[in-house]
Amino acid sequence: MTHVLRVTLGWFGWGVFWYFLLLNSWYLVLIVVAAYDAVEHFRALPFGGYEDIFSSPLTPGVTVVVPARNEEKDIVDSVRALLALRYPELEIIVVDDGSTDETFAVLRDAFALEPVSRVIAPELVTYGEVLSVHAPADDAPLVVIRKTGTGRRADANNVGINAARQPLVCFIDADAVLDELALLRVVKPFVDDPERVVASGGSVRAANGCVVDAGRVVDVRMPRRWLERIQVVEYLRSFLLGRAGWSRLHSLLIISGAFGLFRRDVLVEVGGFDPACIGEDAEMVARIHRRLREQHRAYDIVFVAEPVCWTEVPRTRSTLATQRRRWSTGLVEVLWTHRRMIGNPRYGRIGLGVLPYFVLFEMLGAVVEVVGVGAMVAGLALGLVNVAFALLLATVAVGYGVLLSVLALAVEEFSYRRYRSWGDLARAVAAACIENVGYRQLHAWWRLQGLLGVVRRDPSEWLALPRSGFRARTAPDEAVTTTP
Amino acid sequence: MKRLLVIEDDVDIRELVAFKLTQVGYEVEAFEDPREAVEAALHQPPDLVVLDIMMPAMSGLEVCRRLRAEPATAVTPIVMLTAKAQEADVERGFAAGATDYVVKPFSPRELVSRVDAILSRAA
Amino acid sequence: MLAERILPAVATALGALLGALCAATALGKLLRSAVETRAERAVTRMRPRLVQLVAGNEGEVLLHGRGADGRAVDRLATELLGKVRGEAHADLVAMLEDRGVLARARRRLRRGHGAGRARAAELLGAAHDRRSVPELLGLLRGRRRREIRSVAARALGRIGDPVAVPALLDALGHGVTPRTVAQAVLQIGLPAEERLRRELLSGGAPARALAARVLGLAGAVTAGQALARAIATDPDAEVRVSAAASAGRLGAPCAVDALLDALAPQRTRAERAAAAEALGRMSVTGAAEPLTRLVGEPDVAVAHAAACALARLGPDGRARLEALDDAGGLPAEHAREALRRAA
Repeated sequence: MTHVLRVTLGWFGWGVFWYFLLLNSWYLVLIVVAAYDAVEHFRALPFGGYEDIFSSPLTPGVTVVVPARNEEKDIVDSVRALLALRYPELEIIVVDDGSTDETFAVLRDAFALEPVSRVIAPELVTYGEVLSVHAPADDAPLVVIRKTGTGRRADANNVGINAARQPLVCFIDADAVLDELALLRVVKPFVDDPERVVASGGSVRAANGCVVDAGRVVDVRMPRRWLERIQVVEYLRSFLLGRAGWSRLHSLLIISGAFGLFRRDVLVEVGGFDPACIGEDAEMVARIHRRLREQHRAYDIVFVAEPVCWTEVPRTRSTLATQRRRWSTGLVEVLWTHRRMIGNPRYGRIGLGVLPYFVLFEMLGAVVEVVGVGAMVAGLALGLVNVAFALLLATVAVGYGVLLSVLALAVEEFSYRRYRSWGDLARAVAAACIENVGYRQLHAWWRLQGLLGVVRRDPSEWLALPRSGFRARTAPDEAVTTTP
Repeated sequence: MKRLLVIEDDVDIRELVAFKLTQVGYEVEAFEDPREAVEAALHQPPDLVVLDIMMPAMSGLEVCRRLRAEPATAVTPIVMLTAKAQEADVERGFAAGATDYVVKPFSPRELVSRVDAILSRAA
Repeated sequence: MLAERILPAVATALGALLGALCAATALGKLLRSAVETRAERAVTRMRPRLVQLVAGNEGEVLLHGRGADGRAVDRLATELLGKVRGEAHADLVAMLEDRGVLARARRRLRRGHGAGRARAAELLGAAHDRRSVPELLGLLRGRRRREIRSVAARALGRIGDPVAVPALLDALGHGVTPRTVAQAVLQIGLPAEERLRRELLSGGAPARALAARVLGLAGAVTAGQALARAIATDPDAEVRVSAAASAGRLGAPCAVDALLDALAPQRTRAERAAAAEALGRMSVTGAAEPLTRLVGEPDVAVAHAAACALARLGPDGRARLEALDDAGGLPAEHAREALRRAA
C-alpha cells in the first residue's frame, strides 16, 4: 500500500515538474521573442515618423473614454494630462458612472463645465440612464457625461462609445498616468496598417513608488513595500514582455482595460463591451477575434510595449487577493463564453494555440500548483518522499522561475530602462526571487479561489444581462476591476 | 527695457527663443513649468508672453485664460508658439485670448519680427 | 536513478546562469550609464553654442566638435531640424554639411543595411536635401521592406520636389499606405496639382480618393469642376466622400449642385454627412431646406452633420434649428447641440 502511494506520488511529482518546465519554457520563448521585438522597436524609433503623424491633417481622430467612478482624488490631474497628450485630433469623454463622491463637482470647478446637449447615438444597448452632458465653457475638447451607475464598467464604456465621434476610441483608467507620447505610439499600428489593425493595447506598469507631478510620471522608482515590488517584476514579465511576445506571434488575447485603443466601427459591429462580464476587456478582445475569424477577415491586434500607462497596483494583501480572484473568475468567464473556439481549427491560432494555452496553463495552473505543493508537503510529512530529492525538484522548478524573472529584468535593463538607480535594480532582483518562493504559491491559492468562486456561483447569475432599473447596485471593488 | 516671459517645455526651443529675444535687446525670463510662470506673470506683469500650448502641468490655453482673467495681465500680448497647426487649434488659441499664433516648425527671425511689431503697436 | 544524477547538475547550471545573467546586467548597466552620463553632459555643454548658431551667430567651434561633443552637436542639430524653418534651418543644414554628416547619410542611403538607410533617409528628409531625391526615389520604388519605403516616401514629401509625385502615386497599394502617400503629396503641395487632377479623372480607386482629398487640403482652387464631376459620377463611394469634403474646404461654387444631389437617401451615410458638412462650410443658403429634412434622419452621423451645417448658414439656418428645437425628439437634440457649437 505504502509502495503504491509512494510510486503514485513519485509519478505525480514528476508530472507537476514537467508541467512547470513546459510552462516556464513557453514563457522563455515569449520573453526571447519580446526581446527581439524591443530591439526592433528601438532600431526603428528614429524613423518612426511620429512627428509626421502628429502634424498630418490625415491622422485619424481619437476619442478617449475615461470611465470614472468615485475618482475625485485623481480625475482633474488625469483629464488635464489627457488634454495635453501629444495628438492632433483628440476628444476626451469622461463618463461619471454614478459616483457618490465629488468626482463631478471637482471636474465642474476645474474646467468650468456647463450643461450642454449632445446627441448620444443609440448604437449600443446601455443600461445606466444618462442624466446630463457637460462641456467646458471655453470649447476645450472635453465632454463629461453623468449616468446612473450599474456597477459595470462595461456599461460606462459603451455609453462612451455611443457618444464618441472619432473613428478610434481609446479606453483609459481614470487614475492612470500616461506618458506624453503614449497615444501617438499606440495609434502608429493603425496608421501603418489601416486595413488590418483593429485594436492595439499599450503596456501597463506599476506607478507605485514613482513621483507623479500634474498627471505625468517625472521620476521612476521602485515602491517601498515588497508586495508592490513583486508586482513591478510581475507586470514587467507577464504584462510587458509576455504580451509583447504574444503580439509578435499575432496571438494577443488580452488588451488591458487601463489603456487600449479600438476602431469604433468594430466595437459597434461586435456589440460593445459585455456588461455581464467581470473581465470585460479580455472578453472584448476574444469576441473581436471570434467575429472577425468567423467572417474570414484579415485583421491584427497589436501590443505596443513602449507607450506606458502607469497605474497604481494594490498595496495590501487583501486588495491584491480580491483583484486576483476577480481576474481568475474573469478569465474562466471569458473561456466559458467562448468555449466553442477552444481547439477549433476554424479560429486559427487563437482556437488551436492561445485558448488551449489559457485553459491548460493560466486557468488550470493554479490547481496544479496548489495540489502539487499540497501533495509534496503531505508526502514529506508521511515520509513517503525522499527529502533530498523533493528539495532538488523544487529547487530546479523555482530556480527556473527566478531565472525567467531575472531575464525579464535584464531585457528591461537593456531596452526600455525605466528604472535608473542601482538600488532599484538590486531590489528588483530580490523581488524576483521572493516572487517565486511564497508569492507565487499565494497567488495560485487566490486564483484557485477565483476558480472555485465561478463553480460555486450559479452561471445564470453572472451570465444574465443586468436589466435596467438595476442602478442601485454598486461595484464590488472599484479599484480592481481592470485587467492590466 | 521690455520684459518678456517664455513658457515652453521643450528645452531646445526654450533656450533658442530666449537667446534670440535677448539678442535683440529684450529682458527674457524662461520657464519650463507653466504654473511657476503664471505666478511670476501675476506677481510682476510682463510686457509680452511667448507661450507653448502642449505642456503637461497646465495647457497653454489655460495659462492664457488665467492671465486674461486677471486685471494686471488682461491685455498683455500673448504669442502662442505651438505645433498644433490645425484650423480648430488656431481658433481655440485666439478664443483663449492669444494675440498672435505661430506654428512650429517656426522661423526664429519671423518670431522676433512679430514680437517687435506687437510691442511697437502696444507702445 | 538517472534523474537524481541529472537534477543536481541542472540546479547548478541554473544557479550559474542566474549569476551570469545578474553580472551581465550589472555590467551592461554600468557601461550604459557611463556612456549616457557623458552624452548628457556633452549635450548640456553644446546646447548653448548650437542655440547661438541657430540664432544667427557664427558657429566655428561646433564644426570641429569631436567625440562625445561632436555626437552631441549632431544629435541636437538633427532634433532641431524638425523644429525650426527659414534661415535657422538653413544654418543647421549648412553646419551638418560642413561636418560631413549629410555626406555620410547620402552614402549610407546608397549602400547600408535597412535601418541605416531608413535613418539616413529620415535625416536627409528633415534637411530638405534635394540632392538625395534620386536615391530616395530608388528606395521608394525598390523592393525594400515597407517600413523603409514609407520612410522614403515621407522624406520625399518633406523635401517637396514635385518630380517625386508620380513615384509616390505608384507606391500606392504597393506597401505604402494611402495616408503616407497623401501626406507626402500634400507637403509637395500645389506643384502636384496637375498630376492629381489627372489622377482624379483616370486613376485607380485609391489614387482617385487620394487625389480628391489632397486637392482640397492643398487648396487647389481650380479643381472645383473636377471635384464636382467626381461627387456626381465617380463609381467609388470613398472617392465621392473625399471629393465632397474637398469641395467644401475649397468653397467650390460649381460643386453645389453635385453636393445637393449627394444628400439623397440612396447615397452612403458617409457621403451624405460629408456633403452636408461641405454645404455648411460654403454657407449655401439654398441648402437650408434639404438640410433641415436631413436633421430628421435616424442616422446620427448624417443628422449631426446636417444640423452643424445649418448652424453655419446664417440667420435662416439658425431659425430653422430653433424651430426644430421646439419640435422635440432626437432632431431637437441635434439642433440644440449644433446651436451651442455655433455660439
